[in-house]
Amino acid sequence: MPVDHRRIQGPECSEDYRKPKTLDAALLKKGSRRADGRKCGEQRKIFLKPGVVSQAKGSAYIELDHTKVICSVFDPREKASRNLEQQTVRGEIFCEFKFASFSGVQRRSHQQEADDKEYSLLLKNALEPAVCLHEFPNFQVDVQVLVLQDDGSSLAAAITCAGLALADAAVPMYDLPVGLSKAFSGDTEFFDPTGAEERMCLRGVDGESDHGVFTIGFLPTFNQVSQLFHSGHISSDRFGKMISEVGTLAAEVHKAVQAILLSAVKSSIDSSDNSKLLL
Amino acid sequence: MSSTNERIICVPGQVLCASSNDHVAGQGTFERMGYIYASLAGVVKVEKKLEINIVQVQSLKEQSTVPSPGDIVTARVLIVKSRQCMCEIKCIGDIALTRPFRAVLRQEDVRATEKDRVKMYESFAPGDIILARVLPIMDVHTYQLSTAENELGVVISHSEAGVPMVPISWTEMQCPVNFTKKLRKVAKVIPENIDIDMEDNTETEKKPST
Amino acid sequence: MADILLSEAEKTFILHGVRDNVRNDGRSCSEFRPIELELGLVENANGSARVRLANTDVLVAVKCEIDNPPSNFPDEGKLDFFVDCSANATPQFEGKGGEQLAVELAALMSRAYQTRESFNLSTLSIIKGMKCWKLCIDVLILECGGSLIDAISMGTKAALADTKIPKVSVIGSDEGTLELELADEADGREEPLDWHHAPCLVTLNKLEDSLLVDASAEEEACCAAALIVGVSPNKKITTTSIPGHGSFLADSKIFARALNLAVDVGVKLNTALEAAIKKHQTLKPPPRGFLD
Repeated sequence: MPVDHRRIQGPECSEDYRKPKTLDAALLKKGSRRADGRKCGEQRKIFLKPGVVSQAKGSAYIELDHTKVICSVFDPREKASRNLEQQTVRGEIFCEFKFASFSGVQRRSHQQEADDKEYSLLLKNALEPAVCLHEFPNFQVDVQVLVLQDDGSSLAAAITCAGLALADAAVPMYDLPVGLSKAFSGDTEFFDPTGAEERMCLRGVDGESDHGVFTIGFLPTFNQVSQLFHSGHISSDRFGKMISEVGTLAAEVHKAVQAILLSAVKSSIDSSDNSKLLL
Repeated sequence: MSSTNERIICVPGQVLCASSNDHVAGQGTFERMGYIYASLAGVVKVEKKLEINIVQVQSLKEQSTVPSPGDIVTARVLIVKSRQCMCEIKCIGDIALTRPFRAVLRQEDVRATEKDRVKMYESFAPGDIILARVLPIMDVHTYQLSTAENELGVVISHSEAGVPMVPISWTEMQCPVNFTKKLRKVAKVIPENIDIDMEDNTETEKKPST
Repeated sequence: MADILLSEAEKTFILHGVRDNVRNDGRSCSEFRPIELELGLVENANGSARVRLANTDVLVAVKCEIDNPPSNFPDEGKLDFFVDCSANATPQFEGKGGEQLAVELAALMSRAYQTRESFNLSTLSIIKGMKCWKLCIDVLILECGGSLIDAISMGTKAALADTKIPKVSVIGSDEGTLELELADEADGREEPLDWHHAPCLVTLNKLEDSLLVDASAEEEACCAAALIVGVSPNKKITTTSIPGHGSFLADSKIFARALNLAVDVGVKLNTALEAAIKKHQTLKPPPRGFLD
């Protein structure tokens, strides 16, 4: 990703010519169906594929309907450490999260913006508990995440995708992390929200006090929460309840990711003559 | 877990078996709460050594290995200075790295004896391929290497004529074309499990390991 | 945060104390260290506050600027957080060393203030769709001794309480550009902000099964994981985050306990802070400065 702003001639920022859509409180259609026909607790169909970038050590691509994220992982390299004495016993995951400039309605700049940097950190914190960091002391594994299209839950998609990419890159891990997100406004809860639902729930609807969006990074095998990122307004009881609800759903996604990885390993055994490799 | 042709395939976080006295966690696995889990996606292998079953997971991809102290590495000499030389590690054991690591070989680590009489310029030259052992990490940024063993040192070195030189003693190598002799810290390459054709000297030097 | 090196023996000492609910400075697990608060010590800012939480010291200054409102919310103003990790605090922050931490802290703060329930941005509107106030909240970290974000959130709330926005009147328009006039400061026509619903952030550090509130730097070095919770005065959670490379057991009881503890502590903190601000505003003590 080019960072040198002097070399990029594009406009620094721009505004969409279309009128900003007013936030629609009636995203729930009749029969408690959402705008895209899902039920409140229903997830979008996940398309997930490892090994999509040939140059990378490991990579994965995820699609949740209109949310499209690609992730590549590279070989460990020596830490670009600033603090020499610090943390030599542990490796580090270095994440670069980027929304592509065309990913949303609003055009984004080529450089990492504030929320790109924030998401990079959130993703790093979500992935690090899953990785056996002690196996590569003083090294960092680079994880590059590019959101090609953003229609909500992009951080959750990135967590799942990066987890699969890390496994694909043969980085030793304790578990495959999965990311899930939920948005809520008033009594309505949207699991795996779309961009419009996210925006509405971040703002809240007039007269409703509770609203918000949260993303959880889960390590289902050891039942650990590696990231819990929330923004909104909610009571602790309800929040605690929602977290445990999402936890049960994480197991299903986890199974699916495991199955995908399993079949990827199988097909690579079948396709190439790995007999000598496996001696 | 799933198996194709008797092979067990696993993914990270999968329980492989209970850990016990005769089942221990090997490469690609980790142990937690009395169970052995896989940490890589790949094929499960159980290696038997002295009544002990070492449970391992072999990845289909090259492992992301990093040099650890004690490893024998193959490195290329980049810069030779009076007190040390800079190298880049190319292989660890028999695993070729996709990305080289920088390393330093200091004057006192070249030989086991008469350390202070070592002259770097009479031991290595830029472009030499050496075998070395990784020392415990002292400096954060670079690995330290040692060639203070008979089996370690220069393995391949090219003469000015551009041909690989032939070792003629512990300290000398000779060019087979114009017969010039050059001083090196020569490694005694052990023909471990390689078929070496003793007639053809150039071949012996090309393969320090499998 | 600022890393300090502890030996295993020192860690064990802290751990054993925490098991008995006694920490190495004599507190219980859910107690805060003494907090000092001072308002209005930066003269050139519209509002400022300095919070000292034992060894943690932060200075927050608010400056107002006139800006164009965001196109999707024309009747709202803007809130901008910027955290500066000064190399005074620790040499690790030198150069770009503190950048990552600064991004993390600034992002957390803006997430905590994102909901309208925390801070109503429409009070910052001047003319709908044309002009609004932008509050630049600059946080300067002078010393770090654990629980940075807690101190920053307190400082921010206090600084907002100290902030007064000048009144603006439109005196005419000239071919689409508006001419604004600021009321004289001498007129005293400055309006305070509505800061009462602003959240405080509480960091819970997990040490074994105990949750520590307001951990010192030494305790932070022992803890495996942390949970940051933003709590508004009306017992609502505005943000959460798990920083660092730790994770929590996804047990609903543990989470419920942690969240409830955070809310309890957060509400207490909010009340104490509000009382301190009120006291400060009525008594108006002379500025003490930094050396005291």
